[in-house]
Amino acid sequence: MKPIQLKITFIIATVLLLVFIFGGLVTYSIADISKYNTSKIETLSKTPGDLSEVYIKNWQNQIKYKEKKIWIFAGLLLMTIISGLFFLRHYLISRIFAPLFEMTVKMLDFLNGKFSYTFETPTQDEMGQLQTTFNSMAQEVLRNMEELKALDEAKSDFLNIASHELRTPMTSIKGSLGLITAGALGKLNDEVMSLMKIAESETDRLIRLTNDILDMAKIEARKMPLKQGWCNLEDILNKTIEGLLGFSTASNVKIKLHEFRPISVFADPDRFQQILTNLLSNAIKFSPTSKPVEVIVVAQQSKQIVIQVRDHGKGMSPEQKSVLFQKFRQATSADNPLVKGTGLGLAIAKALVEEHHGEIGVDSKPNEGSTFFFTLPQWKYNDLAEMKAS
Amino acid sequence: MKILLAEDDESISKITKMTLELIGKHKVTAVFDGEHACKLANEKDFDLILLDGMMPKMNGLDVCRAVKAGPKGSVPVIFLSAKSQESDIREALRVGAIGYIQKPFEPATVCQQIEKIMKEYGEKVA
Repeated sequence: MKPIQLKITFIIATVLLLVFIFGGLVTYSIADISKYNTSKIETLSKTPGDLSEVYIKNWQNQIKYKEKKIWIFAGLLLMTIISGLFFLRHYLISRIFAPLFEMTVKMLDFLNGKFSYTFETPTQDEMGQLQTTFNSMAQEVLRNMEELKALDEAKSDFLNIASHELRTPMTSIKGSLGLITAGALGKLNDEVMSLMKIAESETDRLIRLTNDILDMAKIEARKMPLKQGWCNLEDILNKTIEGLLGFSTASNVKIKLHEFRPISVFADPDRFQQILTNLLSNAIKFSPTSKPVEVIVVAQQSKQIVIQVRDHGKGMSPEQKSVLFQKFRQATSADNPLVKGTGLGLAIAKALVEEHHGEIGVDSKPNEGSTFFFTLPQWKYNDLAEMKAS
Repeated sequence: MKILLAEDDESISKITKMTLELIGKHKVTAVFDGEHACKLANEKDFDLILLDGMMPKMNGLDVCRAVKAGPKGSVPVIFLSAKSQESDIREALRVGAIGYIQKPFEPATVCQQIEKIMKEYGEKVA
């Protein structure tokens, strides 16, 4: 309700009330005097005649006069009620509804992150108390937000410094070991060599661990923005499989990519590769050497594209499945002993898939192997227009 | 090749130098800050400049810009960069670097990486 409308309501109400009260009073008194006088005159003029007739007449006059008085009274009452309602409307709107509406607007602003939060001059009534309370609440929220922002900045600073400071010594260690094991400084005897190899592979593990932990921290702090674009799915899959060639050869497990119609996906290629690497290296770890790990692409029009990684290992029970995507958890059991790893691979894969607005999951039964899959919402056949999942 | 290596971490510098000399059979001059790198790059003839991203006095990007604007602007520059500095990598390529090698790198492959980048660059120039 605009102030001008409020003013008009108020003026109408006041005018109405004044008109009705004064108008009513004037009418009332004129009627009162004239009727009384008329009846008096009538009574006096007819005194010598039939007295009873005079009385009856007088009495009738009085009734008529009283009826009129009641009507006037009723009219006055009605008008007072009407103007009273106008006043009530004015009061409700100006004192309650308008402040409430203003409060709602401020709260909505607040919700939307616009912090024009203060009521500059809170009134002296209950509404004013509400406004004062709102002001102090808003200030508190703002203060906490600023604190959180500072903490967040400190956290990302820490992450950047930690990344650099942790990687620098690891670069040196890895470099030194690499130089020695590559035989650049002369041939080593077998015992020394085997120890150097252990040191080297454990350094690699330490580097992986550090990278995983830093990645996880970055994802959680939302410091890892995606650089999404259209990429050829087959290229990414081949590149990832190529990258894992060393590991798969060492584990004596083959990776088999099933053929599919050429497809492009809308994704961050590096992160996509990271997701797939994590799923594949997991599959390789748990796969028997006799059977390959399979990569299958399932594309159905107007559905999310599904990328499956299937192994023919021992599979998992529902209990094991339930902890899979949590941090630092591995599906271990007596006949599935802990496999070296950070326990972060799947948690990272999950976070990255969700950043892409896809889903990740696993189908598995004991002794039947496991099929890990993830989906991406945006994809297209290379020879067709874009296909968006509904 | 005659290589100028600018890297502030002494251990990494030493290992990189040894790697390039022992495995790659290159001739390496090592400096430990950006200013020295800039000075040497403009004074002497190198076939390649390897720059670390973060260095005291002048960072890698500034060195690269200065060298590219100077008399030896045609000398190829490759960055040695930690994974966390992805934005720096893009920036490096923008200011004229021909490639980057990610840290931590393996001595056995760093020479191959350099060779590969140099070969691609040679093809591009030709």
